[in-house]
Amino acid sequence: MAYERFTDRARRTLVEAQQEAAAARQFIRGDHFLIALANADDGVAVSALREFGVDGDAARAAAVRLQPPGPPVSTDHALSSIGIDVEKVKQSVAASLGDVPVNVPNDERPAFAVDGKQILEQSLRESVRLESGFIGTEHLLLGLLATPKSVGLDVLRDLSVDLDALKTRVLEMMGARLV
Amino acid sequence: MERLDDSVDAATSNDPAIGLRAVWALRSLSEQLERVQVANARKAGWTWQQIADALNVSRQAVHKKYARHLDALENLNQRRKGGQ
Repeated sequence: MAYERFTDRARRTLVEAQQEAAAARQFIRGDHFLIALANADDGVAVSALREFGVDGDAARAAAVRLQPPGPPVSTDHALSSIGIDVEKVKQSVAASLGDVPVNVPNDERPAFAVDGKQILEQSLRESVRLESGFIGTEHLLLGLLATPKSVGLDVLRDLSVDLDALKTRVLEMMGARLV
Repeated sequence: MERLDDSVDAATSNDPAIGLRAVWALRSLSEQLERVQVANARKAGWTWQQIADALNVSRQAVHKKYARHLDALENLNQRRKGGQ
């Protein structure tokens, strides 16, 4: 994933989505993207979402209603339950190979869920298709709208958002040609 | 430090949520370790065939998975060195 193409605001959105997921002990899903997008300080996505009556709190409430979280599953705990101490593994790697990155997802930095990955890929695709040259919150929202199976879309539907109208509005705000 | 959990409980847990998460996390850890070990082997001058033999997979599989990534990394390092 070409993270250097992301705008600062889009990056902050990803970090917020990750925090949102971490707090719920979940992988990063579409609903976490949506909540983070709706909480952005400015930008096309949050402006469009506001026009359609979506804010972060409403989105979070809908997400919990649609998919009540089960008991939290801790990744750190799961690994230690089979006798693996990630910190020790990292120390051993560092001792033999030097300072190389071993990025194992943990409770503070959960991985992307399947739909989360698809949203990222779709965002990149939208940016390429629209020849934007960057990935902003507008592309993340378009990516979310283009990913068929995600709690993020379910939340938007639950909040009675017309998905096609939202997409059209985002493109309008971007001043893009409607393709 | 006291965590959310209790590792004694965890070791005896039959909760599928924990067991499956452990499998996923282990796979993720294994992928990370493979990546750093392949990079280290290449740095040490191992051929793709030697690496493939050690990993017990085909040369094509390991090459397809890592060659582009590692080449990009090597180019980047060389450019950095060149820039200095």
